[in-house]
Amino acid sequence: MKLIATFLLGAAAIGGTILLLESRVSGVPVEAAPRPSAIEGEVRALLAAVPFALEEPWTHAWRAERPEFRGGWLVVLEVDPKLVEPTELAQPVLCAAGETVERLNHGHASGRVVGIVPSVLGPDGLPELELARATFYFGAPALPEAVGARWIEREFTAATQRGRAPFGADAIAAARGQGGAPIVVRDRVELDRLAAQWILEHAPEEKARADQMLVPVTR
Amino acid sequence: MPTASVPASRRAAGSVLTRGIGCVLCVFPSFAGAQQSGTQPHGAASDAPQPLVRRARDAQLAGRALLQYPFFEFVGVSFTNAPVQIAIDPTRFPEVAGATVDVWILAHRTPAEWDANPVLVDARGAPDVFTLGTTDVQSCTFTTAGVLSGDAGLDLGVGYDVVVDVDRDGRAGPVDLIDGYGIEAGFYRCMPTALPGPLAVTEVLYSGGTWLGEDIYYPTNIAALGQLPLVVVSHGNGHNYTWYDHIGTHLASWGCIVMSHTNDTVPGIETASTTTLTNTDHFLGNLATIAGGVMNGHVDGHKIVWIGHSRGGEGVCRAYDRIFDGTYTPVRYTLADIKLISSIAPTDFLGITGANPHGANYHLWVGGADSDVTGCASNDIACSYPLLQRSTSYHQSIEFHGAGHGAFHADAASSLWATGPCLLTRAEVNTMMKAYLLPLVQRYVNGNLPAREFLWRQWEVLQSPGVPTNTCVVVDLQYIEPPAAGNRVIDDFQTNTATDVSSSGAPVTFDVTLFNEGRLDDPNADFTYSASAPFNGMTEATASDTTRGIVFQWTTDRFLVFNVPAAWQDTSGYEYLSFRACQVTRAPETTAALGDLDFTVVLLDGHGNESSVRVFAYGGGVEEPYQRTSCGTGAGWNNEWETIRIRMQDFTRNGASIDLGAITDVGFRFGPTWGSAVGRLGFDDLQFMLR
Repeated sequence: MKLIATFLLGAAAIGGTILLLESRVSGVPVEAAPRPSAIEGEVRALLAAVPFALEEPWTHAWRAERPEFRGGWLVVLEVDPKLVEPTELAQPVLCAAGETVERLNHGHASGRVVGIVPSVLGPDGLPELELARATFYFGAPALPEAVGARWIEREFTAATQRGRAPFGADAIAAARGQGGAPIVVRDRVELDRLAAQWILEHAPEEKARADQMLVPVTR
Repeated sequence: MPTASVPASRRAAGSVLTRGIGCVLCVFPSFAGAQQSGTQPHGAASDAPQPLVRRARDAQLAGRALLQYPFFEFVGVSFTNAPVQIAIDPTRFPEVAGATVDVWILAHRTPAEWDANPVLVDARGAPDVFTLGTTDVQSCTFTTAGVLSGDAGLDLGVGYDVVVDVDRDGRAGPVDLIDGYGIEAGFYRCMPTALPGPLAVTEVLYSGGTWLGEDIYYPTNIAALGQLPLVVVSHGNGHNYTWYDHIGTHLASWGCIVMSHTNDTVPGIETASTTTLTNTDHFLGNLATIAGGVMNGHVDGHKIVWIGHSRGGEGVCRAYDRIFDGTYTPVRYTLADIKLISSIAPTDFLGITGANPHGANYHLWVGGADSDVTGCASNDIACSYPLLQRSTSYHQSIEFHGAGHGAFHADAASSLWATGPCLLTRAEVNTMMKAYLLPLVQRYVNGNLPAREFLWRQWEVLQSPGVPTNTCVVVDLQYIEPPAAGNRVIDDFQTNTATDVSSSGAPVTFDVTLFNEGRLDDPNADFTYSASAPFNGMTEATASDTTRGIVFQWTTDRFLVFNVPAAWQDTSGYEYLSFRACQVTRAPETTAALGDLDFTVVLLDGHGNESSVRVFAYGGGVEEPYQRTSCGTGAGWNNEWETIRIRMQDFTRNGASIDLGAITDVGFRFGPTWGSAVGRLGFDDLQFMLR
């Protein structure tokens, strides 16, 4: 079998960790229509955004370094649904500036993705990542768990070069208005419960995913 | 008919062979000395008359009649709706030829029980009375009367022994024949494995937190049961943990506890493996609270099965690999507790270093019509078979023509992810899965003996009542045992890579054409036929894997012969000759006739005798690849390997003079005289198997 390298990064040392970045990932199912590459309009709108803080940290498994985070943004994005159709092969990676976005639902049916953008929290308890500086974009098809800082930086640069830019102040203000007041929750479970409500609201086709997050937790 | 021409071969040793190849000595050099020896065959030890033994003599008796030589297959499993057939080869037991005998079918007894109590008590109320013929096994083949229960409760198969009471004294004595004197019964009657078991099932949803959501199935009366095996299901990307009702309800109805968990597949395989590992631990550690503690004390944490689908199918291999490598240490179970890993259409992102089942018993499901994990040579990630070949323990696979990626789960609203002709419905695939899954789990969790036959006998001849039987249902099975099983591997092509020597160090001779030995890895990105790409259609290995085999073809009568090392020529302790083979997709020799491929298998002994059996005799040959297009030009998908096992005793049928104690060569004859007129074949793992 021939190895298809849609991108070839080889091994990169990031933060002291050797990352085997996909040298043979193809996100293109053989018989499916060619998956669109990241394009203008890939992330079409920021529909809602709210800062959150976690009393108990959570591990961000969506990048190779696996950083812990205590806060960030819970967002609802309108995206090109073709880019988030679930497949077993590699999919375009949703990013916000220099960070990967944890997608809490797929979004292929609704075109809406509820996601977590981890961020360091500032002294005010709010994310240091400012939405006004956060360009949302899709990187190349990959497994998010395998991409690291260098890969993200490269994809961010590529997105910028193809014209991706942060949303405007009005859009951000509207999204912040939809998102409501900053959230402080005990742990990831509580954050999931809030996020599940957003899935039910914005992507009701994925009720099963929301239901999964709403099963009462036996502690 | 060539394959049944045993008398001819006895008249002139090697003459049949000579017709096929022209020069017997150049093909079977070990013949030279043996032909001069004049030594008489000594036959298979276990069935030879044993006048000093006070108990009944061992004999294979139960099985099913075949339409051509060897005319009867001694097998151990049948369903309760099928007749029980027995046969005696009068050339093997000439002293009973022509006799009127009583045939008793009894509840299985251990050897100690037989020794203590040889009195016969028929499970049907009374024995059959048959008068044996004198000429051949066909004249001594009978269908027994009466009904035999297959209800073994939560177990699979009720064991029965068969006694041919020659002296008709109602006791199993020295002149009688017995099938089942041992650990294994003479045969087993099985309830339909596709149908629900005897237990009612309760399903509960549970959450222990983020990525600790679990959909749990357990027998409703679990309080009355002992400790039950745990089956963990890890779904695929875009799938949901509630989509595996068919697995959960089926296995729980047969006495398993099934836990399907939320699987963190979107980030990748590592995260998916983490949720498999952590959910297994969490479940075992929280039984006192899960579902009100109803399962507490009823889960056998030393009998765990991991089943994963797609990314989850690779994830379960990765999970095992992480424990194996010491990068993850479970709290409440160990590597040895994982009795079986089963991957449904798994991806292969991580390759041999990351997705490796190592020494786990491993099983693979493949759908020929899968349009997600496609199996096309263009993308290593979308080819599942390398995971199978990485297992160093018992490993087996089942491939369904026409099954899409989404047909393996049970969500009726989801896409089948299927493309190709003759597509199977989700209900059909779910049913076929259940039929195979039960014996698979029983085999590796409970060591169930009859379950083994379900893993290798061709689907055409052993399929549960309830499975679909339309012409679109085509199934391929592989069953491979590890070296520790004690089999004698004549050639697995992993060492001694010259084409004229086997991995066991003995000569290999052939006149089949375009013979190539190498890695079972399609050399390019499609399945388009090319004469310069001999391993076209092979998806058993990536460039990092080492699985090797051979490919060759014929358009007229041809042969392939493996000499057996001198130290291994006494095969009398081995029950089966086994190999695996596949048709090579899209080759003109494959597409010349769309259908199973047939050829002849030959044993030759040191006395110049030979005996041969046609592969078709057992009801199926080597399958035509699924006629799916794309992945280049032409029709036909991956090369579909199938295991073929032939009982060694079959070569001795009807007086064939073959000495299983002195087998010098295993040969294969191809071409119009011996089977399919033309063909192109992949071949691997030739061995004598103990069981």
